[in-house]
Amino acid sequence: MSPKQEQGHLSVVVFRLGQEWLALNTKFFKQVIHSKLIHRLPRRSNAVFLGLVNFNGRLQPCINLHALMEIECISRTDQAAKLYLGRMIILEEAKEYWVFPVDEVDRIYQWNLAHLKNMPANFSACRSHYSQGVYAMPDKNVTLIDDELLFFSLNRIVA
Amino acid sequence: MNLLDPVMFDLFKTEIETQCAVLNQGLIDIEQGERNPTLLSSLMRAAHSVKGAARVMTLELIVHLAHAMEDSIVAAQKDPPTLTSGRIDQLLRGVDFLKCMSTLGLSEVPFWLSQNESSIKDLTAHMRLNDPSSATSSIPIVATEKSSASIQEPQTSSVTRNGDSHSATGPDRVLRMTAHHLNRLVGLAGELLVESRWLSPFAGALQRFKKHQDQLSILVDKLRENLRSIQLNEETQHHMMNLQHELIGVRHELVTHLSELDQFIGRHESLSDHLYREILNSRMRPFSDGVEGFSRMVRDLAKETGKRAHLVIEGKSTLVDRDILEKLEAPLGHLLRNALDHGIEKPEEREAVGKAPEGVITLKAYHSGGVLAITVSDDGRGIDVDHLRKLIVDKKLVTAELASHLSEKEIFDFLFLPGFSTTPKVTEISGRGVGLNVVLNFVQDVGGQVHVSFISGKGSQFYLQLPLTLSVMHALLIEIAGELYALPLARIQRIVCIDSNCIQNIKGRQYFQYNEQNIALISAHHLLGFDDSQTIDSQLSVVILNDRLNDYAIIVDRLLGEKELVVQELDPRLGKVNNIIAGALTEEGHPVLIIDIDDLFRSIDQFLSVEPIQNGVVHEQLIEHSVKRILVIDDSITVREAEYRLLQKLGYEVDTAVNGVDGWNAVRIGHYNLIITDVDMPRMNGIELVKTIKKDERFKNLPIIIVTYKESEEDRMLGLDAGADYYLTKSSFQDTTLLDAVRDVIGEPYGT
Repeated sequence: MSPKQEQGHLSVVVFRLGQEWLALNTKFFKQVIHSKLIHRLPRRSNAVFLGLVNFNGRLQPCINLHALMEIECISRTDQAAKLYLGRMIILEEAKEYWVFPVDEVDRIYQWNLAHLKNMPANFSACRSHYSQGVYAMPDKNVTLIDDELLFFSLNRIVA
Repeated sequence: MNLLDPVMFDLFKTEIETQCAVLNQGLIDIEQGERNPTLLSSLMRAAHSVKGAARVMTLELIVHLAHAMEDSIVAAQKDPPTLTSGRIDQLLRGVDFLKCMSTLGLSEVPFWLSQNESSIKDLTAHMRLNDPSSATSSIPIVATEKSSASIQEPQTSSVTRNGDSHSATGPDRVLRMTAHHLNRLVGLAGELLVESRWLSPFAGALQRFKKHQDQLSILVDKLRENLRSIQLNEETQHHMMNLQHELIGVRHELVTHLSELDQFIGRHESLSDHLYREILNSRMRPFSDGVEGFSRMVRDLAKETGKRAHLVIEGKSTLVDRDILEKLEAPLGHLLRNALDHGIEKPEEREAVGKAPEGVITLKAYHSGGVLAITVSDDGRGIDVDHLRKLIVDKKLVTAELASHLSEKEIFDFLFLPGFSTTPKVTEISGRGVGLNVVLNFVQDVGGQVHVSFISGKGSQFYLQLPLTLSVMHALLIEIAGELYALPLARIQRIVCIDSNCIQNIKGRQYFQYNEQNIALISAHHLLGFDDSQTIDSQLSVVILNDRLNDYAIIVDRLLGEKELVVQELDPRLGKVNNIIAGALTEEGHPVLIIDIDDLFRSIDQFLSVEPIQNGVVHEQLIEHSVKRILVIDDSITVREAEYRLLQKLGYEVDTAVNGVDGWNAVRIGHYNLIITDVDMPRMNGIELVKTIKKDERFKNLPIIIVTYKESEEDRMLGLDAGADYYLTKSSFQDTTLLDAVRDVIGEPYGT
């Protein structure tokens, strides 16, 4: 979390994967683009690591965030899903880009961290790994993603 | 010694490098007879700059050295400008020290300074003594692992403070940027080009729109004509006229905008194209950038061998791809050494046959017919073919009989074999027999050629033919499993379309006949690991490759034609990807993977070595969930490796982590059956980690074994209290102790 944030506030981007609303610290967002072709990497692509996508003229790794966060709950197969969800978000961390297909991107919100709650007990165990908490918004409950854990596992997955 | 600021140190190193290049070249030129007085001034200024920079960095030792160098040069300016050879030697030695420093990492500086302090002080003193005859060549430079006292690599892509830096002033000054940065620029320029291709078709669509609009006008006119026969009331007439009026207005607007759009498209396409070319060209560097230091090397080597020779460089401004330039240094170095060692004769020998006592080695680079040509020639004794022939037989590489039939060219081929050397004794310079083999490897690596020629008694020449750029590849675009791949055109033997009824089955393998040869048929799907087997159409598209021994026919889905592709390295995060060497994009911006032919041959080997019947059913081995997964956490790489191997061998699946935080992250996402951890680690020690794990609802039942050097009873209690299931000490560590504990806690690798 950026120390420059107003004390106790966090700027996040809220987006949707399937039925779930998720959020991530705004500072990691580079761009939102329309879905593009994903090229599988032979013997490397799987349900989580989908393949490579052309972003700004360079091939970048494309990850199925949904599968990543539920990584325990899916059986590991080599089958890659060719996703044609509406959008892709491009994250930037340590000068490297990561691409994720998503269904919908809402917008940037300023969250008051005091309202961030722990994951409720009835949430599936898998997803709670990546969760830093749940935020109740007027029309939806949004899960905040643990960015440190996210990027940690991303690097392990594509290597 | 003061704590140096890393940013300042980087700038200092850049400065030193630049000034060293000036000094090196200038001193050599003077030695070669250059009398231009401004040259001495520029050398003085260079030494002066070094002194100033060293003062800022409070490197007293270097300040004194640079000062002495500066004074030396100034002294030469005052007299009739004379820099004796001995003086020049001293100055060059000084430059060597400076150059060495410019390769150091910040942390290496104190050590390097202490190691070289006395030598530097010695040299400084000798310079001041006005005593050029002192044995300066015996002053050693203690080098660190990475630095070397001779040729330094020109840093074509180095990272400084924010990735960019610059030296000197003027339009020709060299700027540095990271390769990362440059790649992004190339990527963006390429995408811009791709995007701008959308414009022309769009303009076409608008033209059609205009035509429709024209149709509309015509229809309205016809309607008006028709209505003439009817008496229209004023209001209707009014509307009619408005309608026609509007249509004319609309058409006018459309025509104007379309015209503007056309002009814009013309300008935009031109700009994008130029931008792209300029950026691709920025990959090109002048040849002179890669040969800095060779003049000096030739001079030094000549002295060492007791010969006289100097280097002439032609074509300094010839543009060379930066990747090729980087790789050129070693092979060119070998060729130059070779020329000095075998080509150039001793001064007496040369004079005896009427040559000037000082030999000339010429290094030249030029473009010719779409290739980059580089030649290394000398005016020495040429090549003694008969001597070579005899050597080849002596080394038992061929029989005497065969040797007598070998053509000159074939004999030269032997020169490039690894381990082949023509000098009887191994000197520091030549004789190890690896030199020319380096040249051959380099040339093959970049897809070029090398030729040797000579005139007996007059000289020899090595000619390298290289591609202009490595960044663009002629490739065959193909489709495999619905996606785009590319094969380097140069490695393809042939493309064939065969009828499926030509396929023969021999012992479970598939072949077809071509030119009376049986060629093995292999499906690209299988090679790349795609489960879905290819549908056998009546016609098969086949690419024939040859690995110097056999032909192989690879079945692909579709052949899509020859393309020139701009190659991009795969992202380093991916590590090594089997069968794929690089990536590229089509004109429309679609991803293409370029196949690594050599890797592919290995895959073909593997594929063919498996029993044919099984090939149809070969799947990737799916890791069953019933294999037990263990996480090993230790900050010592030796311990990690040891435990990893021990457990892997038994069949467990093992991951590692390097400290407590790393371990906690891994625990949360890795789904492990057992954690084995050290105690003493940075970033969260083992005890903390155990507590954190056990505190978490999800992991409170996850077994943990502690393996540590801490043997006291209190430490043991600490560990067990935190929640560990076992506490093992490394001193009494036997493989079996750990294994027994592991088995006790989670059982065998497979099964429940």
